[in-house]
Amino acid sequence: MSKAEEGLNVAGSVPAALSGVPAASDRMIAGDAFRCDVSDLDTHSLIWLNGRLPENLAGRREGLPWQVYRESDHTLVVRVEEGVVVDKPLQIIVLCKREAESGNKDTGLDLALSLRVELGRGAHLTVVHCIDSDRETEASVQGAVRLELAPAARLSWLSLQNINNRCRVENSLRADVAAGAGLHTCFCSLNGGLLQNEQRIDLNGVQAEASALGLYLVDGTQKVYNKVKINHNSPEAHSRQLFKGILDDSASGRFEGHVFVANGAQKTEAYQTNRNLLLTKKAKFQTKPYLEIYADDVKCSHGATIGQLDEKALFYMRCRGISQTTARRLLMYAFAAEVIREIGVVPLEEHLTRLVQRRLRGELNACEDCALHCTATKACANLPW
Amino acid sequence: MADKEKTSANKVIEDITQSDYRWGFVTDIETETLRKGLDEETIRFISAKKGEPQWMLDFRLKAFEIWKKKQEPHWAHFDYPPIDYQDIVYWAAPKTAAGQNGAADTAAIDPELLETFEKLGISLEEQKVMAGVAVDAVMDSVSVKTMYSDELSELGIIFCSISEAIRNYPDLVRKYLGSVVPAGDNFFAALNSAVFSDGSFVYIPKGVRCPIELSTYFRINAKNSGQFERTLIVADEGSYVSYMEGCTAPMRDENQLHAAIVEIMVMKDAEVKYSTVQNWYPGNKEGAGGIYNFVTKRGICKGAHAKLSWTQVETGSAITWKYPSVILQGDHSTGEFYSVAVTNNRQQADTGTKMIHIGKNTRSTIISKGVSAGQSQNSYRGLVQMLPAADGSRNFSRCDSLLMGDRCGAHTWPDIQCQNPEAIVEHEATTSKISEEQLFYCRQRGISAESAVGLIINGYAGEVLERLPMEFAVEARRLLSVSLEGSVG
Amino acid sequence: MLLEIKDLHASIGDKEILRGVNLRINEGEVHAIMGPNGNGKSTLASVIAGNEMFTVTKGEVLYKGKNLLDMSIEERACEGVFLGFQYPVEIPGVSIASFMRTAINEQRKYHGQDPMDMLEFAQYMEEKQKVVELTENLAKRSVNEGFSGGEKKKNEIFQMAMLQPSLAFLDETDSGLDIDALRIVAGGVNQLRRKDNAIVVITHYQRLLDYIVPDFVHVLAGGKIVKTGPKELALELEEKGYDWLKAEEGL
Repeated sequence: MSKAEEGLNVAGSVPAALSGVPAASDRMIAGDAFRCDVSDLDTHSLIWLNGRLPENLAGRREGLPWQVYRESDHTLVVRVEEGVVVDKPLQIIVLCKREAESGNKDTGLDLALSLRVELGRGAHLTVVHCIDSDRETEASVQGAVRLELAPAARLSWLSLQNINNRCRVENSLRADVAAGAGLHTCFCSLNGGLLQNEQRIDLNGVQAEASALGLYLVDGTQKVYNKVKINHNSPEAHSRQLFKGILDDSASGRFEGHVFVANGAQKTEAYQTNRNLLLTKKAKFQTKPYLEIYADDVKCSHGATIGQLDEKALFYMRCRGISQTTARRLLMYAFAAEVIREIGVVPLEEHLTRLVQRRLRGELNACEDCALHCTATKACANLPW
Repeated sequence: MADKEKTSANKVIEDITQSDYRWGFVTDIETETLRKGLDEETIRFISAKKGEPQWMLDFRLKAFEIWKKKQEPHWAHFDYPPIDYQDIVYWAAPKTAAGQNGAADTAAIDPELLETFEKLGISLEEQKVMAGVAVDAVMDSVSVKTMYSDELSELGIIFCSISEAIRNYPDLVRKYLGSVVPAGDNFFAALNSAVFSDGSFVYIPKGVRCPIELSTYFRINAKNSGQFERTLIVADEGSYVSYMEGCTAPMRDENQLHAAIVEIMVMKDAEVKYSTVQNWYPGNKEGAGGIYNFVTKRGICKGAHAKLSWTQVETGSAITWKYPSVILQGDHSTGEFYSVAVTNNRQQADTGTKMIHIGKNTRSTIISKGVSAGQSQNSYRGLVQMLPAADGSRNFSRCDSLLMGDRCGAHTWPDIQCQNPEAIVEHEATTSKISEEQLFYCRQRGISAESAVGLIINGYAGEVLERLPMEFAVEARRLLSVSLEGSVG
Repeated sequence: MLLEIKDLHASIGDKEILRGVNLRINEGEVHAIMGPNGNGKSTLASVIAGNEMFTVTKGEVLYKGKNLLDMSIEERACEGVFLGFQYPVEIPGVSIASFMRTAINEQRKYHGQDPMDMLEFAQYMEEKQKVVELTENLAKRSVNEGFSGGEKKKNEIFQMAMLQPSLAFLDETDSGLDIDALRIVAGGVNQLRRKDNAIVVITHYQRLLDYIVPDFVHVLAGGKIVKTGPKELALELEEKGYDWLKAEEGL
């Protein structure tokens, strides 16, 4: 058994951070098995291995800024009480990994995971939600996420999907955002056979805010599907959707964005943007940016594009002596960076920047199947994480 | 303050959106109507009435079989009670409409009919008509008169009612009818293919530039009747034609169905401009009555460098379901869709376009301007498709919505599909209202609130209105203001 | 007396901005209203024009002997009240020409006159464009859409020339102008000075008053006119600022 796998088993039974062990050693236990482990990011982490929640997640623990408990075998609840501001992000790692003893390699995994996050009035929390797999496990992960934000609460929900091509993920997120509360979601789809993220965010009070971001980089025959509906049920709420993606090879994708402004939801501001780059003849994309508006005093707009890199910019860069390949890569990176720099957690932004840059250089692509499971291969042997 | 602001704006809106439909009169004329209901017999009756050849009857019967298997579509953003297709009269004709084929001689037309069209602003006497426009006037199921047919035929241009074309130019009609909109395309297309009564046929021969505007004016008059007109335009290589369409109906408490098909073939290097001012009776303020307008309009740019441009001003109908589309098959062909749709009171409009890019370097432009007032619902729905061979093709779409009042809705439902890395699709949309600042600015210059709204709406829609032929533009601008009477915002 | 403002109080929402303004303006006069930002200068102009964002809570305004506050916005305009906006709004798709034609004809209708015919209007417009060197090109563009700061202000003065008001409030007409545009705009205003009209120039800086020489200078501070003097007062304000006045008034 490799060192990494040892770490895993330990982590599976003892959620180090949650039992009060300092985060540094937590990461040591988790080891470098996790490509989601962001070296510069100090988090409380929790590992959800092959659908099994750590068993000792019962009730309230002193000295922790939240309550984390299992409601059932497949349901995890995180609650932050009124006024509590959690500085350190909570990292929830959903890991699909072959376990020697269970012999799940042949049968594949079918996971239905449910997670509820409740934030009391004025509470603040950042959740980094990683879905990760090893190279060969075949898995289907259905994640149901429920987010409830009391007035003035703030929640960042950052989801990183990085699984092998035999895995499919279907995430469905429902959020209720009360007056003055703010929800920030970001779905980064980096690798996976089928990645489907559906979210519905209800803005139920005045000055509620939501920003839903997405970045997808797909190739091979990967499929990525993002569906977002933001309901402005109350006046004076603001929302924004920004989804960008690059599709290579025979990858295909779809974006369905929907802004709904209820009758009486005056002074709404809602903006929706979806931009896509198609790199090959076989890549396909469909976008459906919807606006459904029943109030007149609103500012709503959307924009959607499917296209290529700006030829003028390419030409300009080449005139400055930059090679076509480099120029393309720089522009693609700039394209993706618009989403990355809005994530709001600097170490994570840096981590993603590195990932995306490598991906665009083709280095990560070089690893068979997976963008990140590359510690074993030569090209990525010296990665910093 | 916000309340006060709202009150003043709303008041102005309400004042402006209350207007009367000026075209709502009924012509008291003896009309031959078929019993209500739709079955094979109905279709045989219509076909016989028009003296159609067997192939045409077969076409209809086949369409009827398809229709029976289809379901009425309900994906549009509408709310209306079920339509009873057996409670509709499928044939109604003014008895004295001088044959059912578009008379050549005005003297043969009932003076009542002449007066009706006169009242609608359409003179059927050639010397009185708008300069440079030839009109085909259709009332209920028949074409009343087609003007300038003889003069046009000297250029080889065919402009006549579709019934006449079926008899006189069977080869042309047979070749193209149903080639762009097959009977099986959708529920309403199948219905129309089975029971269509009249409409216009246009053929422009190779290299001919039609010197005048061609126009069809559709009028529903009879009670309980539906109107199912069919228009077929074929522009042969290198030709050009500008075609206009207008329509009105009496004010009645019950809804009336209008299900039309327009098919356009544009050959290599040819250009067709199709303009519509749709002003069917919209129903009253409470939403009673009005036309249900389910229309399939589609053209194909068959050859290279062909161009088809749709311009529409939609102010009427209780329900508008209409997506004038372009199939861009020829390389370097161009499709355009310019639309202003105004809904007021309880009107519901779901309109837009489809641009299907097949050929290389094809171009399409979509400009849609929606205005919603009262308790109306106004949707833009559009499809832009870039197929794998559409290298270097481009689409640009802009869909703006303007809301007047807080009880209406404005929606945008685009669908963009791209399968080509060398194609570019851009879509943008905004939703807004007439700002208090704009109103204040205009009123400070002495412009009444009502005029200010008319001015601002006309400015907002200007990009579309300026595409209309001159003869239509003036009418359209006036119609926009009238449609919103009683509704400043 | 053209305009008499007596103890005018006005608020926006719960916030009182004008707290007892008194001002008398005769025909043939040019008044300058100066004062620190956020003290009610623009509000005063807006209230005179009838902007519904503001509520008049107290006081009286007589214009040509009539109660101005009873009139609607457009009635005031038709009676000859003009506001040169500090931030003129954009009206997309509406050309300046059709905007002005609508305005002039509605005003003529108000006075029981026939509308101006196209040709007459075209000539009239051409003549008035010269007042502020408004180019033909600009006149064809949509009202204020994509205009530079200078173009917007020129457009305001051009409209004033077209409408020939009896009483014009020019709100910060000099803000954002370079020296050439300032000279053109001020020159335009001077051409429009007549014995039978009055102009009120609202400005933050004295430099505009080098070009448009006022008969009276008022200082509006704390929602009231705290000092009135001859044109030299403007120079004094330029030199000493407003603080001394505030101190004097105990604000």
